[in-house]
Amino acid sequence: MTGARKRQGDKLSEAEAIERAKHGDAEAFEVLYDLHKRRVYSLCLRMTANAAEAEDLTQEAFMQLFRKIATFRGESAFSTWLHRMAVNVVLMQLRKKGLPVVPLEDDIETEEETPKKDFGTQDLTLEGSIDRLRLQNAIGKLPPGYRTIFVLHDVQGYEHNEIADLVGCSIGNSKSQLHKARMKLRELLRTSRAEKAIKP
Amino acid sequence: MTCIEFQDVLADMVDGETDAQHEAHLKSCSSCSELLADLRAIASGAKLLCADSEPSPRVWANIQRTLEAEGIIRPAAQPGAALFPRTRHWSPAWLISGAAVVLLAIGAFLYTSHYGLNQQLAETQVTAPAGTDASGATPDDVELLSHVSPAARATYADNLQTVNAFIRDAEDNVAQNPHDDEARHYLMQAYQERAMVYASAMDRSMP
Repeated sequence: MTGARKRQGDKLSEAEAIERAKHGDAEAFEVLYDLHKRRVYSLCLRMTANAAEAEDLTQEAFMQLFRKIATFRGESAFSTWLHRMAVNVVLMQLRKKGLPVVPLEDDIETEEETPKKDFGTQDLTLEGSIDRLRLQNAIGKLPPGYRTIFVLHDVQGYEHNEIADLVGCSIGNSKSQLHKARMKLRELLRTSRAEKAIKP
Repeated sequence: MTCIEFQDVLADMVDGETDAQHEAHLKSCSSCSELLADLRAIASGAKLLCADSEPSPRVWANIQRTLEAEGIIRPAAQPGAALFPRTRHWSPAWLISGAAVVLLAIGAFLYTSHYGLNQQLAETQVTAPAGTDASGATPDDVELLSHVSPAARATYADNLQTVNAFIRDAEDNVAQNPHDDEARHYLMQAYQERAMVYASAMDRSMP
């Protein structure tokens, strides 16, 4: 990583890098990769909960992007284009593995995947105790359907209508599953916290 | 408002505002208040994970290698650098574009036939080197090199030797796997590279 960082230091803009990449400029591709690799990889990692798989999917997402970059006309933000492509790559992978991309509808919940409808307890409140690592671990333990919705909405910032479009579910289902995912995370985090408190 | 009623609106409240009625319940019920606080903490904590991890350098190395192999990016030319990366991903578009380049290169080669090369020989040997000498050079290679400037001759001889070896490997591969699409693509790429070396050498040798 030499030229790319140097150019970024010289404030090569994303727009300039895109134009240069359209003409096959190797360093421009590297600049674009550097600009977006963390978000794309983080997305893949959160959705798969597997580092090696996330790297493969990151590679595939960027490959698809770079193969099509000559067709990019700037009607939408480049990052939007890339991240949507990355989401689709991950969803495709989940489908290949037979994992549920579309969350279960409300009326077909399973006992295992349904968060308990408790209303909080004073001694296990999470406020102020959610650190990044614990939250990462808890997300990794979510059922894949919940995880997809949670990562897309709360981590990546997609709106419910966009999620519905991406994964092929209703907006209502997306909202419902997000709430269940958050409730399940709360349960996982509280369990984790309680286990930690028991250990010497 | 009861806790059950509050539960019904809880999901919307995590990302939205609370009204006076909800606020009143939250003030009077620590359980619901803590539940809402937890869910909001989870949602806000998740935003910090948006771009918190970095892939290993292996990922960029793989991307770069693949894009170079596909001809989408080309690093600065390096004398003696390997002409043919081994990792390839083929597509029908590549087959068509490769064939087009070969035909164009052959056309350019024949057009510049003032060097006296035999037309038929040129056509067959640009696409399939035969009758090579001990160094792997075909009679056409020898003829071509005689028109290249002495300064560039060694480089072109080296490139031709490499490309001829590549073609032989590719032809062997096709012979062993006649129905393997990738093997045929590989051979097509080899012919294309040879045509490109010829076209480049002809350009360099123009007066």
